[in-house]
Amino acid sequence: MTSKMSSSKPDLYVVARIIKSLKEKNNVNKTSLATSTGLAYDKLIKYLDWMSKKGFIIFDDNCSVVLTEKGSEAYDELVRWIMKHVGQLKFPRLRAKT
Amino acid sequence: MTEAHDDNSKIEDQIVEKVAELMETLDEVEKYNVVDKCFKKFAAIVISSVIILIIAHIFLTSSGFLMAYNPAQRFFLSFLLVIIPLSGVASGILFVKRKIHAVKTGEWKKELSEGFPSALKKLSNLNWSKSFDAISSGGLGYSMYGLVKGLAYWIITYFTLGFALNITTYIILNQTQVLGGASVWFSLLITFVYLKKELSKRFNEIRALDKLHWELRRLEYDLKNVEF
Repeated sequence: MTSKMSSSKPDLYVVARIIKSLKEKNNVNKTSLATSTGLAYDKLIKYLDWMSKKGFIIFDDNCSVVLTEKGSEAYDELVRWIMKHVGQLKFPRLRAKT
Repeated sequence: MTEAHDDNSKIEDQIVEKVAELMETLDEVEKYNVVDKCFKKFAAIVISSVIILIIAHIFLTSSGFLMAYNPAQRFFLSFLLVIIPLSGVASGILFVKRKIHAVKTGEWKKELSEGFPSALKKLSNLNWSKSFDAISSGGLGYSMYGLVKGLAYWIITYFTLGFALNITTYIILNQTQVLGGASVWFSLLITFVYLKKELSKRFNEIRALDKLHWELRRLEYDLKNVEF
């Protein structure tokens, strides 16, 4: 994970999980965020650090995590991007017969 | 804002549905892969039963064992040999069927119930090369399975038809082996007509697997480049 973070390519689904959680509750403290996302606290801190550098989140005076407009837009854009590529898939009806 | 949020929630649900569809398809691909893995044993069972039939037939016709019986009894005794490949094919199919039923499916359902991030996780963690291998070998194994099954049906039909023709000519002309090798071609035709629907279905499924292979290759390529 650390190597991934340092090469600035974190796990997409972890970032998505954090943003989704932040979208549901406007500002959350780190411990509750770790609980609601099911992430280990130290792992969450590394992700939050990366997201803060990207401008997706900010920390308020109480050290709670707040999702920025940019973070929210990035998430929505990702959702639309995935839909664009996954949505066009047409799966055949398969049924292995003996 | 709320409308946009609702729209996005709908899109997220659609993505989850689509990923569920993908996972269901991959579960099904695993079944084809099982056919491929079982193919050698299936072929061994079927081919052994056919070899036993041929050996038994040669033994019965050349040893004079059947001479003690009248022609009608001889016919019936020879015909009983068909039971050997019949049971071979039946047990082979049963073996493959049981293996297919043992494939665990839907294990991803619980994980996917967590919404869009979990769907994204499924996509990110998918073992693409394993899936591609499963699709390729599954398609090949499935066609080979169909081929061996078709050949076994042909041999069974040949023996059954041979019996029917011989008994007919014996009753009418009091002679056997009148039609020579005609039963070979007749049986081939009967088997083809009988399996025509299945052959076409099998062909379509193999084509569908091929198509799926390319769809997934494209998705894998697209997903490689996605980042925040």
